[in-house]
Amino acid sequence: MKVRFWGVRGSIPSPGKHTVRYGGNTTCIEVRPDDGSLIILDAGTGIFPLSQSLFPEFPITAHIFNTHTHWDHIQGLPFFIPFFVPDNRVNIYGASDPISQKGIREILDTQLQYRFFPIREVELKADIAYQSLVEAEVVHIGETKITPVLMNHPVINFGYRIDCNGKSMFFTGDHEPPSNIYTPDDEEYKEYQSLIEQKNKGMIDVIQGVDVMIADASYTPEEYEAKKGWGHGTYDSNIVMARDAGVKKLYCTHHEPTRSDDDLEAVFEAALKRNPRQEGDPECFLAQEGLTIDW
Amino acid sequence: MIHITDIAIFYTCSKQTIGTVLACCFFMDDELQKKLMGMVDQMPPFPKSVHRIMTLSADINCAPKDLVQVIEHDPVITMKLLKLVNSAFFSLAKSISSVRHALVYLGLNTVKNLALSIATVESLPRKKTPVFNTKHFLMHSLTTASVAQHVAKTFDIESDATDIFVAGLLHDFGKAVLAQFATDMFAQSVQEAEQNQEPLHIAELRVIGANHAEVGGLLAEKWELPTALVACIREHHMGISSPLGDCVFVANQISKHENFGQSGSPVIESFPGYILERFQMDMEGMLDALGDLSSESEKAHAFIHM
Repeated sequence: MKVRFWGVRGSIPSPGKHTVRYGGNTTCIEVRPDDGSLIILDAGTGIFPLSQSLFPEFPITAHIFNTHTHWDHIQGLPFFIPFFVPDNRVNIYGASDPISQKGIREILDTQLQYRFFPIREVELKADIAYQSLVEAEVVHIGETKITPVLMNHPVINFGYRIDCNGKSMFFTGDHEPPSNIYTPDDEEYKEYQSLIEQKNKGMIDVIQGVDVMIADASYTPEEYEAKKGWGHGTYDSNIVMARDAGVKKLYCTHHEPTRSDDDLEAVFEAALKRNPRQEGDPECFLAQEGLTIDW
Repeated sequence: MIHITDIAIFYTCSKQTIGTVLACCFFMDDELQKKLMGMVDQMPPFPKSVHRIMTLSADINCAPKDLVQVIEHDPVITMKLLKLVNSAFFSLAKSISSVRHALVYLGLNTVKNLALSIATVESLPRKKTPVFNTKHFLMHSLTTASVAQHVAKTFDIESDATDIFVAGLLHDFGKAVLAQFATDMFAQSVQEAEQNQEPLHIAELRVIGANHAEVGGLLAEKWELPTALVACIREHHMGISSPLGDCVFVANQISKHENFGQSGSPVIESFPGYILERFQMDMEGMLDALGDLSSESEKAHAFIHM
């Protein structure tokens, strides 16, 4: 299985001299399971350079799995070049929206409106199909199995576990560990806590034992205090989650957009010091634009 | 989509027809059954809850527990929220049994926006009937919910506290439905129950052809609410024992006994054998065991008048 990062930045693209090493594009991950399928996790701005790398393979069949529909995970989608070339096939998967009650097709329909984009969805040349997913609805592509897991974010967000020929990975999308809305002196606290534990266990059960986990580690614990409820995790919360799930390698992504490369390395090193690696713990890395993991 | 003409047809059906339709709901998929379910979508939440939800959700710093408190105290919003999160649209791996459960599963912002969309849905004007006072109904539902929780805690009944609260809150949901959609016949049932000093569900069965427990249970079942909750709503006048149902039965009678709001039923039912067996006491003993219930009533009162 091969994984390549094309966008590792959270919230908004962050180009400039301070982000040259880790990259400024928003979330996009290319996954190539051993059966040769092309799976793309999220369509942040990183999908534009990814799509340029695909020219030699045309015509292609691409499977784009959307974790959630916030801008930084969809803003590159209209620039996915295979859309404009006949004979390509693009399948787009993701959750429906419970508020509008519309399926995953709504992303492109909305983005490609006259006022926002010069080309309409019907004018795209590729063969495009949409599949709205529900929790735990497994998608089979060749020998690859993709399982959506409901995570915690201010919109419906699926993490995806990908399994192929005994190799596995998991991407959280954006995720903040659920926290108790009550204080310990509230009588509701204990019961709410048990609901949280149940929910966490459900997530851990699915992630269990993956070779690679790619996770939203936007903040340090200090930064998180002012950003509770924003829907993102910390380095520390992900190290704990990866440890609990018996993950082998953890890649921290969704880097905070104002963080320079030097600062990113510094806060990551500090997180590793706070969480010294014990036997059986995952190896931890920073996700970096252009980095390829091959195993 | 339900049009006003459909509602007019529904309202002008003969008593026999509505009775038959409601009764038949349990056995067949009927066009009118679908209409009834569609019409419930347009049932208005309580105006105070709507106002509170609009105010709280406009404040980005609102405390999640304040918002949850408003949602979980409004039977219409709770019912609609549970209906939606348990629907095929979500197809969640787990059945969601309470507002808090939904919050942990779907996150605050999704629940907040679902509540907002429920609160602002273009709803039917509330039908006013002198025999169905929404504040009294809400008071009865809320106190039944909190007393049921209190009973479970006092007697170590094993069930999640919020599930018991939800069951108490929604046990009479069918009355709100009948008051809205079979207004005249429901009013007649309340009057006849009063005149005959008989339980309301007996009068409903005679006048309408189905009682509020059956109607509420039917809707809860069709909306795929958790099985225990459906059973509790449907069976709360059927003499079927379950830990959840027994707590709600006791709380229902206590709420009437203490005059916490009005349920529309003039009869306080004595504890049947299975209740006496579970709790080893009658109503009087129960009131002693539970102690001062004024805080249950004060909390509900404060919520209704906030």
